[in-house]
Amino acid sequence: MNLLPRTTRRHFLRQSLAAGAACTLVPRHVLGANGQPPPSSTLGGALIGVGGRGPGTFSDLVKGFQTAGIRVQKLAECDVRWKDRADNKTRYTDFRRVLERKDIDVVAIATPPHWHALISIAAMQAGKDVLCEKPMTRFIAEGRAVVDAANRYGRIFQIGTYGRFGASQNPNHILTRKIMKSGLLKPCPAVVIKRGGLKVKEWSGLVNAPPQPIPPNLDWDLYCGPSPLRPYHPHRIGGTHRGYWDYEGGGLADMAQHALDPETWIWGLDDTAPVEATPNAPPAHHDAVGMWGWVELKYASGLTLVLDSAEWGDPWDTSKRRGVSLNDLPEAHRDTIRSAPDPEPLLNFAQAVLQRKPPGGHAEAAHRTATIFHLANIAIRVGRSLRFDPVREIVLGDDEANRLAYQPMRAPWHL
Amino acid sequence: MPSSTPAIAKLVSQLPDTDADLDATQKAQPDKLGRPSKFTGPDPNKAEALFAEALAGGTTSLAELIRLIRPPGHPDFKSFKAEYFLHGLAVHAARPGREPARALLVNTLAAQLANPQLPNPVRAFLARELQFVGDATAAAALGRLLADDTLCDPAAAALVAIRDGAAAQFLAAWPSAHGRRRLVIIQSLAALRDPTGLPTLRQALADPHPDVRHTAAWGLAQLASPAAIPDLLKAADAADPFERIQSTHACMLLAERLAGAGNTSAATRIYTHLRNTRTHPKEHYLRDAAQKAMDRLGASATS
Repeated sequence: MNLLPRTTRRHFLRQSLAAGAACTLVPRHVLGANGQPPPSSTLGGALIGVGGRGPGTFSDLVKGFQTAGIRVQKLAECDVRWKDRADNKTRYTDFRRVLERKDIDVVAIATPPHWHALISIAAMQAGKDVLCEKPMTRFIAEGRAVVDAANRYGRIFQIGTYGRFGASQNPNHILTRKIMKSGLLKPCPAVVIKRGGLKVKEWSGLVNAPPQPIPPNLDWDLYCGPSPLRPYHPHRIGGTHRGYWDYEGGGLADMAQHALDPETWIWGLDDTAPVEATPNAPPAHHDAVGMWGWVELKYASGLTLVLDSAEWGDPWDTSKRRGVSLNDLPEAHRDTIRSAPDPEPLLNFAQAVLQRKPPGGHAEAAHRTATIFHLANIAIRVGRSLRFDPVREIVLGDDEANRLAYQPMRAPWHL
Repeated sequence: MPSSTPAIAKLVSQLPDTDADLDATQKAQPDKLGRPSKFTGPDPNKAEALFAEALAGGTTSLAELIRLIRPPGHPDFKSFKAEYFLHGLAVHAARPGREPARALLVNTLAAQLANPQLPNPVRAFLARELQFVGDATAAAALGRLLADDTLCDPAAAALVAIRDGAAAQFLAAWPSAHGRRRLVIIQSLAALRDPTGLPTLRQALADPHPDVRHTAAWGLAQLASPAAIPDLLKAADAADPFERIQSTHACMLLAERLAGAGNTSAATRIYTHLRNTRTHPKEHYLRDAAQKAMDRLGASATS
């Protein structure tokens, strides 16, 4: 089974606009349940992280609500980098000043990923609903903390990638999901391969960059935030931050949430994680993300998922690629699958906010998808096969790997 | 670059150059060597053989390797290779079944933390390697760095990752800590969830610095201390908006931990307070969250 061409944001929005005409509009007073503000057709919005994808992420958010007849007014935006661009009225450097505002209902987050979890959690603690850019997190423990915050405070979290929305409308994918969710296929013989498109060299870091003077208007300490306060170099900000473990996890972390978002839905993996990860890569650098060949991940069901960079070493054997069908089941079980109801349509972020129900890319699903590439990166970094417990979310018998899954944060930032 | 035994320098030199240096060498452009660059990395099997050979040289070889390391920008910096070599060697030595090699490395790293001839960025790098491979035997050496403003953060991160023996180091450093180091120590004690940190965390709840107070509140919640309830509820009713949000979160966390430990009455006390005091329409999500948590407690109590 080959991975799908991913649903682009533009395509997703077109689909959402069409679907919106048929959706039920729920009045504003359901926001946060009893005693909420009176019905209104306007929500207060904020964008945290204005560079790169930021404006596009906020635009996605606005268009989603427009479909439902709700206007989102941008009341604040925040750039955690530049001190001289803040007026602390509508433009901020410190995201905490944005989140303490009571007139803001929904927040789009498009900072570098080392801030995603902490700002998402802080936003939900402050009662906001969150649309967060991918990748969701920098390491595994962050994802569980985001899930806990969404559940604890009853807030909506949607990851900013939408491949599963298109995939969930494809009859073949619906059938695959029903087969997988039935639990009748034991063991699952599927082999899913993502080969190429993971921008490994493109999003690698520099290994010999000398420190540069910190620009006087850059809040380098706040930019680094929970990550180590390293000497400044311009390659560590502005998109190329992806090449450093302190801020992201290279092209694998940057692209795999896109690539895997539809797959985790199709294969029914939103509530579990791989149990094994085996890497093929040269020794990793301690600071700069570098090259790797492939990582083979296995699920308890038997499903094999392969991430192959196609940029280093021998490729994984793509002839082993395999899907599943009703023919893999005895006849009696086929009828069970045929008679099973189709999955509920996925809600987009705006629909989820208005209906107070989980969106298609909810926190648990996004976290489980992120866990795949975090495990792959950990396996690359420790250079050995890992065994993972998807319930306790720990690597079994490997302290070093767990120290990469659960990383200390620089004070005062903590999960 | 400092002098070194030829064997270690030779091993290090066998690692591949950066992409830019390889390109400049192929094109015979020596003036372009040393530019900031990405790199591709060595063949894993060849690298493993180099790491094993270096480890076979014992403490002397490892100390020599460390002396080769200089951070980019240092006047003696020549190459990234020694730093990369040490990290690769740490990954190699940390493989299950290589405990003697790992112990040798950890002991050497811990000893070198006190080497005054090493620049602080190199000592910070060694602390980060101990964050990855260190154990309790390195705790005391890391603890001594908690008194150093520039090394406190990486030393604390390593101690938190190691856990065993870490709390004692933070408690020993606390009385003389000032400024940011106080915050780092409180955060570390909170992250460790070690009961011996309880009195210090309670003391820090009255700290004049808000970051220290917030972090102490989080730490008290982590420790599920019923004695912290009055202080945390008081902090949660603060007028300052963000302090109120943070302290309310600490209360929610404390209630969850207390309930998890079986102390449902203490948890209910917190939830009841939050449910009754979050009357502003924009705080009703907290009232709802507290009520739902109480409903769950009631359900579990009756089930």
